[in-house]
Amino acid sequence: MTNRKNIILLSLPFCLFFLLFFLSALFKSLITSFGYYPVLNMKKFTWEYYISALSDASFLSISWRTFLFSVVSAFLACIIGMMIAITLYRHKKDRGIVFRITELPVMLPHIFVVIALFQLLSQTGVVPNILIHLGLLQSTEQFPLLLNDNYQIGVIITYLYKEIPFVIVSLMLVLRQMNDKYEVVALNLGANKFQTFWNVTLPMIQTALVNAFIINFSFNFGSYEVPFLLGNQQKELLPVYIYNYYVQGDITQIPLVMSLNMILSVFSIVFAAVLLVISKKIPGGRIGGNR
Amino acid sequence: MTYFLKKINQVKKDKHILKNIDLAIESNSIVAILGPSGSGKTTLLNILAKIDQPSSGEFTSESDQNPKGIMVFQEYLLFPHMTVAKNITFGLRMSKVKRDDIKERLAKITEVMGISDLVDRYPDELSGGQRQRVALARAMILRPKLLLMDEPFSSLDENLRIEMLNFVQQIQSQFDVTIVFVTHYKNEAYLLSKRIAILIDGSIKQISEPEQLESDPIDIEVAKFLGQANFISGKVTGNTFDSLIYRGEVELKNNPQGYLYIPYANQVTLEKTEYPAFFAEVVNKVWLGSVERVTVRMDSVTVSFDCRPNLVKIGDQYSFYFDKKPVVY
Repeated sequence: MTNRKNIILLSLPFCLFFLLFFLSALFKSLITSFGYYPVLNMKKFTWEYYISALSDASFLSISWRTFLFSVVSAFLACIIGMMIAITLYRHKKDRGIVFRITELPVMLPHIFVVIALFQLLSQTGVVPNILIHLGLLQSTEQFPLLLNDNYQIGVIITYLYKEIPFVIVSLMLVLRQMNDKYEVVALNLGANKFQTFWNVTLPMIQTALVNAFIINFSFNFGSYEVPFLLGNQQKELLPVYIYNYYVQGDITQIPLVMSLNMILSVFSIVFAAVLLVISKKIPGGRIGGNR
Repeated sequence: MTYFLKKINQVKKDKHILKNIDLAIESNSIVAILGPSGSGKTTLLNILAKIDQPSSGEFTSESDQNPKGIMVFQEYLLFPHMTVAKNITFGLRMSKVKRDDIKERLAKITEVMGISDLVDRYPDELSGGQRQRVALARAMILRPKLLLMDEPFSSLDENLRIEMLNFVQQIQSQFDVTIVFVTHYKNEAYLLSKRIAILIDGSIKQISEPEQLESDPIDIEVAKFLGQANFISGKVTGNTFDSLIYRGEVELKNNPQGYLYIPYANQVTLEKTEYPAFFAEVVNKVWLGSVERVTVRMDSVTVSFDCRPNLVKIGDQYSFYFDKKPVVY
């Protein structure tokens, strides 16, 4: 009983903070999105703003673009991160200097990476200048546009730079607990290397991989500063679109902005939930006992 | 068909793990490889399973230049994310065997193993004995000619272990499979096989039947590993041995180091023989069922051996004899 009391008391500061700041903000956004905005004397609940948002073609196309972009970035980070993690683990480099170096980018803030990319990859940056000095380019204009470009390459590079190490760290924790003899068993029973990876290794790490994908996706889907700084303003992504709406000064649009926000949040949560359900159903989702 | 290991050596990180292993394994037999931990037993099995390649030497058979054994591991190593059925059929599925055949072979093997009612369970829902049967079924469904067992029952309790050893013998005769069984428990090896190879420090020291091993270990290393014996130090002069408890004629083994070998069983007796041993006081007796383990003392030396129950009394002194000429290593 005393133990339970202690747990409640110890968790109280966090719970109060969470209730006050997060849930109150969420609640305020929710009621505003339904048109309840007393500042403007709007006190009637309505679906109007949701209907308006969901019938707005530009919102839908930006949402779809943001979704695809977020999925592709998160997927690439997971695949590349998984390959590096397994390679490091198989070569017993999971605790050495190489692994420590791969961990570094997790600690760097996004803005650091953004500025570093500007310095390196913009058309007046370090890389084009080196290429000119090497005689591989005649002028900086010949260097492809990688930042603020149509394909959001700069944004993707930033995300990959941050997220691949995150995937490596997440998977390494699972790989270290996994008995590597399972792969030996599979090979001895007649499986080839790909079959061993697909049927044994991948299922054993898939829950950690899906979790890393969800975290990466959620970040990509809701991130503002990186697409704002490195993205193409003609092909803006959803968080930038919503924020631009918010700061344009028309406070009668606030309920609409809030409904867009709610749609973005609910979609992220539902998508994550669907992925978790799928992860439970596919091989590796049900694991008990020792690995 | 006989399997041949010819001059197998394994060197890893400058460590010579296996040294010139020569061994012929008759088909449809069980060969036990007995040795202490770290003697190279698992390394040897890994070579037979093609999990590892030897640094030199070859493993062949009369009909196959590149034979491969299927391994049953000590830690079961059932895939935790697969049901029993999926685990057992793993090898067949990877080899793209037809579904109907897989179903039929699964039904047969689970019946033989007595695990038909477990097919939908996951490994963490099974007991140790059930897990080992599943691991055995997973190997046997592939109909291997050579089955390799790496201390498979070491984590089971005594009764279950004996039950499983009997079961392995049944499996061997039923499926006509050759089994190489690795263990560091000599009783396990004796129960299972009539042919035992002693592997110590990467070398096969002796290949014999259990009785022969116990009565005539080839050298002191084997004798000490087999245990259940007293080693009394002394001095060898010609064919005689001089120690605190015994002075007299002995049989000398190769390169004797001056240790009189007195095994617990079948060596010391109260019945008069032509090899008088020692006069000593009984200081302790332990009941072991069909025999008593008696400890006797003379001066500062104690010796233990097995006797018929109630033959001697604690505190009394007796003249003991050797059954046969004692051996000095």
